[in-house]
Amino acid sequence: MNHLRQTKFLFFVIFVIFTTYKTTLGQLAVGIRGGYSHAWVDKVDTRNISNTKQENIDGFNLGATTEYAFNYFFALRMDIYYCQKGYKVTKTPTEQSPAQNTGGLGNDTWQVNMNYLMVPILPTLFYATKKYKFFAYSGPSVGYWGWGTKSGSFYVNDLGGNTIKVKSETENYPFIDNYNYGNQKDNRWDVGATIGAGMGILIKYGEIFIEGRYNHGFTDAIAFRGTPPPTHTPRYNRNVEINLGFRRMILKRKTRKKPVEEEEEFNYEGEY
Amino acid sequence: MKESIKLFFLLIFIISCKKEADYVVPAGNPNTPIGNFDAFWNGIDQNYVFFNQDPVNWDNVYNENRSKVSSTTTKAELKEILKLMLKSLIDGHKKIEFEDSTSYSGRQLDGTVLNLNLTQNIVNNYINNASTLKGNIPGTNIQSDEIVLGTIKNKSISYINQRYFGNALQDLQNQVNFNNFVSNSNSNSGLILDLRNNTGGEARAFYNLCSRFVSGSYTWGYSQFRISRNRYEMSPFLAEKIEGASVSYLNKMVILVNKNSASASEITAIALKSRSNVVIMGDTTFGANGPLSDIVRYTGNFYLPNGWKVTLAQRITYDLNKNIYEGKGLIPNQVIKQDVNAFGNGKDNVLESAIKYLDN
Repeated sequence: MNHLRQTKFLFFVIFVIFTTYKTTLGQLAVGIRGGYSHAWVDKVDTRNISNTKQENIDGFNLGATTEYAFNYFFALRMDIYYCQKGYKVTKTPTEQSPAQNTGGLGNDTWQVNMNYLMVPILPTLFYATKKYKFFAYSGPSVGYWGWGTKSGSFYVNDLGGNTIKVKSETENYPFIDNYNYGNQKDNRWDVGATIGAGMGILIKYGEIFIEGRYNHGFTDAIAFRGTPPPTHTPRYNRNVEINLGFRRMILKRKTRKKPVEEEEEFNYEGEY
Repeated sequence: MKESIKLFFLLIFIISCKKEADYVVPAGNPNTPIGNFDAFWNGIDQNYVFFNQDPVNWDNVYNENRSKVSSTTTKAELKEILKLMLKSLIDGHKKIEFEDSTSYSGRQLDGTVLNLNLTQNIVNNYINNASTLKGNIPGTNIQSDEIVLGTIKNKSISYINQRYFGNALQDLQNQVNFNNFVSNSNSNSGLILDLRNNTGGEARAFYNLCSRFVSGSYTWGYSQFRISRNRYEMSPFLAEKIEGASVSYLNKMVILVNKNSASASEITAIALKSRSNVVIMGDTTFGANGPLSDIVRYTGNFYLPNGWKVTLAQRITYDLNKNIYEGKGLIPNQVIKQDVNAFGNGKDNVLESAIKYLDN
């Protein structure tokens, strides 16, 4: 828990410096970004249920981005965004419970949607020409599992009923802070790492960019107050994103004159 | 521009590479005292559905009992250890069956009340025109009087005694007779459904019975089952419904239960208690209402390496307000204990209370 507090504090300090630091050396741009999210966890423990297969789920993400460029190749970026994560499990018919027991119908599925507020801080290397900008980044991230749903679709009959049918239900995820005899809880904080790359097109009022990103959670979504039991399987969030975004510069750099030959090729700041 | 197009497709390619999730097949335990102990503890750990409700700390149960088992532990000693562990769980359907066809389920029915021949007493002293519908006793090929029908003497009150939940209502002629009785009951002032000393049976029989007491599609409660090895990860609440039969009785009704009303009979009471025309009378039920069967692809049963079979409930049964009654039983709307002494004189005080209620 101390580790988590320290991490949160570190993020807070970086956030304050990042958003209040006025410098003559760089440029600050802000914008929006959003797109597709493809998520899974590593992993769901379904060992007691035969013929199960873990699958990935699709979702979206949306939020704000800000970037501070220190010079012509290095920037620090921070995003705050909503991101859909989670996982899905599929169960196919078994020899003991073959498909004919369910009228030859399909698979059972259950899915947990985990909606996170993500804040990655991303040291970024970039290269810009007159029209394009290419960038790559990696850095720490912290996420908060704000809410979620669990849903299932099962081939079962009503208790005692004669007709097997699909029963589908979705309900809000019931966060529990105190279960397994007080030792276990849903862990809503996720400290992880983000790596990604993309390219931007420089336009008159800013930059339109596309990027791909991978988020790797380091925090088990199931937390223990003591030692986890030996049978416990940690559950880590994973997801990839494809995003489109737009950034507009709000602070101009005014010092450090660039060499003439570079200015002809790079007009990043002057276009804004 | 070419560079950006290449980069875009590279990104798409990288992002479209899926991770193939793996899952583990549990390793077999050896047929040794320790291997059987571990298989027992792990089997319950992985299948038990009531960890959210059960006050028993299953980790502590392991720690307290594991040290009692060694390679020299005899079969008889192991039996006693596993019985003790099983006893601590609230699951009313829990059972371990041994190689000598003996079994242990941890809780006993109330023998005093069970030994009262309630049905015969009612037939002799309380009803007219008694008729029976025969059905197999669950798990056997033995046919017996599954349902007793009649009318309370000198009253316009119908009486149904479902003695166990067998296959009587799967028989076409029985269906006709039962439907006629239910239909005729609509002209009476009330109906008594007697489930006392009914220890359950087939879920289908529960459904067939209840379908005569609802109309349309009636949601009576919810069920849940486990979807992972994580003890607390349960399926969403699945709505449980009963489709009303073509013939139904929807007027004033009393359901009688007692300490020996278990499983399907408890579920009947749970299912119908939310109906405004229904009152539950009698004693608190047994507290075993997580059904054993009827889940198509999920089972709570498992074997130990030595062949001992462990049975657990496969679902949690909830009422319409998401209350559960496992291990504690359903408390009737009107609690009336069976007067055993008065029964010796042919007086059934619980039935008489129901008659009085319906007669008013």
